[in-house]
Amino acid sequence: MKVIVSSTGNTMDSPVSPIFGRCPWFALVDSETMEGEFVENEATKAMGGAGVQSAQNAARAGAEAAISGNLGPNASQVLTSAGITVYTAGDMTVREAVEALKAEKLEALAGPNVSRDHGKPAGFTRGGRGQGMGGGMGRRS
Amino acid sequence: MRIVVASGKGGTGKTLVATSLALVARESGPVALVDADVEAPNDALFMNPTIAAREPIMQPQPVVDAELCTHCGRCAEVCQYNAIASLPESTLVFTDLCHGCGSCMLNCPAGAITEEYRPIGYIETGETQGMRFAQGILEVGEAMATPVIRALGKMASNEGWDDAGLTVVDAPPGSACPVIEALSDADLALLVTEPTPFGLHDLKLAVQVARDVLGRTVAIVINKHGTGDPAVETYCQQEDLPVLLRIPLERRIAEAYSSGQPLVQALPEFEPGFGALLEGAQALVAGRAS
Repeated sequence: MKVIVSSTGNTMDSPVSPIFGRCPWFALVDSETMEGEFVENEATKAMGGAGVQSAQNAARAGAEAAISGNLGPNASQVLTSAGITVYTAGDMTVREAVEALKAEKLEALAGPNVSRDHGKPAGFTRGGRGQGMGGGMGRRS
Repeated sequence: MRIVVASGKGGTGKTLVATSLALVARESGPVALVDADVEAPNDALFMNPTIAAREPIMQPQPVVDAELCTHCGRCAEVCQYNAIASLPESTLVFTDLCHGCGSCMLNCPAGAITEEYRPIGYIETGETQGMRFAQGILEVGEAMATPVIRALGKMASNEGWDDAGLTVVDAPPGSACPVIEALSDADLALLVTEPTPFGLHDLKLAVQVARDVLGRTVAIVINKHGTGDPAVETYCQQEDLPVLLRIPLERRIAEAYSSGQPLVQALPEFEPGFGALLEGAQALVAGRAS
């Protein structure tokens, strides 16, 4: 089985990333051979829709299961549509997480467990309002 | 002439300035007031306009024909906003990420994508106190303010409001797409700020957008003058930005505002200041044109 894992680095011993859409690396791991193919996540640079893009790429890469620290709503919708079950893994390396999945020790997510833009860095603001909302006097505009 | 009242920082006094500027300008010619702060338009609270017409703003969004789709992934590849997920057996569209650009439809080799229109807000037109009035309203839950602001600007241009006299536009705060759209046909960007580190920080961003990126003529209004520190004044001097009006921080101004009265009507002694602001603005625009 091919498992996509959100990863903080590009080795099997890198810790699993707590975020999905904007994690630095994706590991596509063959659970039989325990060999991983690592791809740098282009979606980290996206202004929006990183979860959509990352989840689509995972599906198109042929993943049948996914492992991540957390999962947002858009990525969850895409992965569910693609028939990919997502499992959460806390303090584990990529290798440990896939082994735990094989041993049926990981918990499957029924849906998203974080809100949208959870993993989005400061400065990637969506609207124009962010700069000054609720300014000094408690008014909005 | 179109004066767009913008700010960078929210809560600096755009509505306060826009409404009083329009009221003072009305004495010397035809004026239109346009509230383009479509996420929270509140000029109407002060102006009590009579609304004569309301027009929905429709936004295109792609619809994928599952029968025709070959799942080639081209639509998702060309989408700059990651609004489409092309999966091996299905295609998902995320409408709240979609900007309605039409790229997916134009690029689909199977001709499987068409556009559907849905209302995201509306613009209202009418009049108030002898002025033309318009406001844009974005529906709750919609993320894309720019199309509503664009429709307002187009309407004002098509109706010849700028040519007939002065159009005062109350812009949204911030320095991103909605403000850039509001500034698109501005003869003058009037930036309202306050003399605080926050005011200065966001003023600099607004100046970068209005003057440096868009090439607009920029003038400044300092609200809550007498508080904070002199850094905004120093910055304006250094950057050669004319400060056309300083409004003091006074309790009676806040009281008039909170009771829904335009400043120059509640406190007429501010009329000369706004008259000077108008003259200063006209001189800057005339100077730029010559």
